[in-house]
Amino acid sequence: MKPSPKSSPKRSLKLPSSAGAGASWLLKIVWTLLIVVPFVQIILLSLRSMASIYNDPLGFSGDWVPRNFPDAWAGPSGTAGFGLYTRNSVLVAVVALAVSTALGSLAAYFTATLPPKWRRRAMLVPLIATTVPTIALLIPFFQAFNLLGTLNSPSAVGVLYGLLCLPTTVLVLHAFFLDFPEDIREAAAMDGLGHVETFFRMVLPLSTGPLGAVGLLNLIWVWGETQIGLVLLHSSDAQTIPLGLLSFQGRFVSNLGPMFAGLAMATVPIIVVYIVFHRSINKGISLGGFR
Amino acid sequence: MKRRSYLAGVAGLAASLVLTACNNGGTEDPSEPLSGAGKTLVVQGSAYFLPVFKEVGAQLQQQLPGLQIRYDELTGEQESSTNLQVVTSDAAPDVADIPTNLPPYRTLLKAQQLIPLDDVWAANDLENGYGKGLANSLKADDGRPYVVSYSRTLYGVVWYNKAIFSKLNITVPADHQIASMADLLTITNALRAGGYQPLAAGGASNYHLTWILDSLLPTSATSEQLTNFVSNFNSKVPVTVDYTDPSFTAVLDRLKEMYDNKVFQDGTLGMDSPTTNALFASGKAGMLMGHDLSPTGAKKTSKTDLDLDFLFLPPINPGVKTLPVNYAGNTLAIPKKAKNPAIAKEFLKLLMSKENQAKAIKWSGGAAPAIDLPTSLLTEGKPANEMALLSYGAANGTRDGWASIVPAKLGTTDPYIEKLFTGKMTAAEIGKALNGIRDELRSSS
Amino acid sequence: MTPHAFRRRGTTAKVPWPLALMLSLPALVGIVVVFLVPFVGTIRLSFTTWFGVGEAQPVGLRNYDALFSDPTFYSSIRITVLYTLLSAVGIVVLATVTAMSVRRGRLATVLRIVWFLPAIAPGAAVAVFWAFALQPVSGAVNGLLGKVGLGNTHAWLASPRHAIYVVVAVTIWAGVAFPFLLVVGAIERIAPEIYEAAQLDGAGAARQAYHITLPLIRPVLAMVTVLELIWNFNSFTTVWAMTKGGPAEATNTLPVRLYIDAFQNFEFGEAAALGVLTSVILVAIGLVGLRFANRSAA
Repeated sequence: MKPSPKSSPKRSLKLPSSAGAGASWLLKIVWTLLIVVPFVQIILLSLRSMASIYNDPLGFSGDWVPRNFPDAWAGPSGTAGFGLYTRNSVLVAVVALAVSTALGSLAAYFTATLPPKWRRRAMLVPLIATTVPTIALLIPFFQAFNLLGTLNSPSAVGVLYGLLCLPTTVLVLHAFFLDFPEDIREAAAMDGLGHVETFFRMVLPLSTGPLGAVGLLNLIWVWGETQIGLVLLHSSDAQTIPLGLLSFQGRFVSNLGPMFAGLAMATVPIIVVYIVFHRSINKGISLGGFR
Repeated sequence: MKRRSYLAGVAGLAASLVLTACNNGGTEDPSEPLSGAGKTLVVQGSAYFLPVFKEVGAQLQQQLPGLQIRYDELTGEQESSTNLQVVTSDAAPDVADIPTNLPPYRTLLKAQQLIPLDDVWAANDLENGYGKGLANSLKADDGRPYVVSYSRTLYGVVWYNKAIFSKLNITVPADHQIASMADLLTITNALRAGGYQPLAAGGASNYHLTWILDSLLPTSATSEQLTNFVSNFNSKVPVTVDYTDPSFTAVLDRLKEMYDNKVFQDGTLGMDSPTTNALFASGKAGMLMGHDLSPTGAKKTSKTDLDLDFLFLPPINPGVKTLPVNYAGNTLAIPKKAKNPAIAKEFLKLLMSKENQAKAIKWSGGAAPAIDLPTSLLTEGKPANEMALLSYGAANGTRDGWASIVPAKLGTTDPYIEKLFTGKMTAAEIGKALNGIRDELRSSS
Repeated sequence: MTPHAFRRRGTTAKVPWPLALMLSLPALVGIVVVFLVPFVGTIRLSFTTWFGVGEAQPVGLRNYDALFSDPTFYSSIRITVLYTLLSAVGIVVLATVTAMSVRRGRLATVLRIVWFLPAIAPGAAVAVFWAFALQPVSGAVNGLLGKVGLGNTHAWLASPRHAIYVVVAVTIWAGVAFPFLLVVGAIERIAPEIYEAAQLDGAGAARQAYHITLPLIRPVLAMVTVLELIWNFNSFTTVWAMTKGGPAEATNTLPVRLYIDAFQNFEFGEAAALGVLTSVILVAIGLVGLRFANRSAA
């Protein structure tokens, strides 16, 4: 066990035994390394050639190949690469967030205004929906998309993702709107605003925090979804980033440099978004938003 | 007012759903002469063959000015699975990549989703070009062809890295034939001792181990037995040999012997074929279980000029030659839902012309042509090392691959071989299981 | 602010219920359309045979018979249960331990951000990375072990005995972050006075954690456990991207099996039956779990 660092006088609440503090520090260091090192590795290996990756799998030595990024962006034969995947992922995400936020916030707010008995009955719908496993829905999704002719359409998949985000969106926002200050709504009514106008002009602008939080939770899910996408987006030019990643190895006939460049492009942007907005995400989670 | 704009939003969403359903590209009018203007031909292909299709596509675009061509690249996994859905959807390609030994082909035939290609065959006399045996195996039960085979693949070949072998002073037989298991083990042990992985095979790829079975089965079974093995899943053919026969189980026993003696790389059962190819291309493994295009793939991957040559695994019955295995399932079809079937037929006719079949060897980097070509066309202007395996096959003959002919349900033996390696099943038990699948296929055909 | 303000009646801002219902309906109908209607469709499909094109043929209970008489179905259930239990327990334990270790201090703010990163990265990217890192010779983990003299040819993913544990480990790595933040939130809601009082009584950090923190966050832990059980029972991406169910079907969990049955073997009817049975098992887990969670919350 490592010797424990002296506890600072500021942290007066905690006077831990040295063994306990040592264990706590060890845990912090090991866990942080375990989390950070893989991301560093992805970035290091994304700049290496295939041969260097095999000679030094840790990525600390070898040649410098920034070309991996344009290679991965264009794709192995210039037909479908991360450029296209990113475009599809953004399209899917924008459509999904528009659908889930628009429909979800309306339902969350206006169910909150229903008489309690009806309110609870209405909320049963999203509650029951959360218990249905995705794998029991896959085949009908496929059949429906086949019938509608929307297989390989990222925007149609975006609509579906948006609808699938609704239970979480409604449940989380509903909890928030239940506690929405009554006086603000009364003031709006005095000013002669109708109910719908109150929602759009008063309630929504005051709810950007929870809206953003739920939006980010949904974004994380949509950004990484593969199970449904695998079934509905087959052609290589319709695939999203995670789907592209799954078939990337095969497409590159095993060229690892661009594959790691792809991993970097799949992870880094969303991490940046998170770091910028992490406060609101953390708030969203404490509001009870789950995955 | 707000409500109305909201409803408009919903309507817009619904409309976008419907709109995305509609496809652009116009549909052909059969009464008019072929024209490329305003049309987009969609061609599917694997990474190995897209370069060939692009060359042929460029020729077609000269014939039909204004024609756009989109190339969709498929992975091996897509070919065997989700491509069925693509081909039957409204987003169907015009030229579809439908290997005849994989499940989508039979399902598409059953559902009558492919266009018969008699005229494409007639245009290039493929009936004779393929030879009788192959031509018949490419036809459906109604006697009509629904696919063209555009390339044979020679597989079951062991590629080795000459630089590693000469560094370790490993000698190889001049006739490419490793005579015995003892000789093979001498090589693999020397590689291991020198710090290299021996024979790289993608045990997690679901087909790589079966390639070995395919290359060794003809060295164990008589040609009568082999003929029966590849056809007795059909109820019209009487069963004269079972999968529990020693001619089959001896191959499984050999695979197990290879695995137990560490002939394969460490972790073979956890690596798919791209990972395995990478291991070889990066110079970490001395040998690779591969096919005629493996060197091209390896060179593309490593970006260096690897010096490679080929070997064959030791035969089961001593003295018999192990030969390259012939796969003719590189096939293209035209889906019923194709928007430009007539242009697609022109594409296939061009692809199957003798001149383009010969040029395809070079465009692909050494793939065997599907049709018999005069020797002059075969070797003209081709680099020697890319031709080595082709010439060897032409001189010594090739064998039919059992797994590439029988339905995938029977021929996908990798899961069984994995269980054999890990001691969960014996060769006899696997034989019994395969007998069961064969009987099931017989009763349903 | 009045909690549950809408429950107060007779205010000027009362929304007439027909309007409220009308504006709520699109989302509620949407949920019914994408969750409940397809689920009924799966049940119907499970009594037919369908190859992915053409018409489905009714076959009664044959798909269920086929599943129940297939020994690999039971091994799939076993593997799924093992995977689910190990992953869920590992995730909840690690989330609790890590959450407790960052209670206070400036460092805690940074660690909370860093430790949440695995939840942000797409699951497919995480799985593809780890599958590669765990390969013998060329993988980073083996590279590291080789450097410290422990050998660089460990092939965990190639071993039917070990592969499932490797997949579980990666699942835990990726899965801890989310419940970690939930538990952190729960700990933050505990009034600091309680700890101060305990400290006056001379309770050390370990005793505080065990006697104060744990009992007070038990409802959250119970809920998280139930959710993790359900999520991991359904988990597809990690297993698919790392092993595709292999080697020798050693990681063939029910979701992976369903995907292979339906979209690789084109046995859509049998796959649908598998989906229905999986849902039944899942609902059972959910009911038992909820009862357990309610009891510990009470």
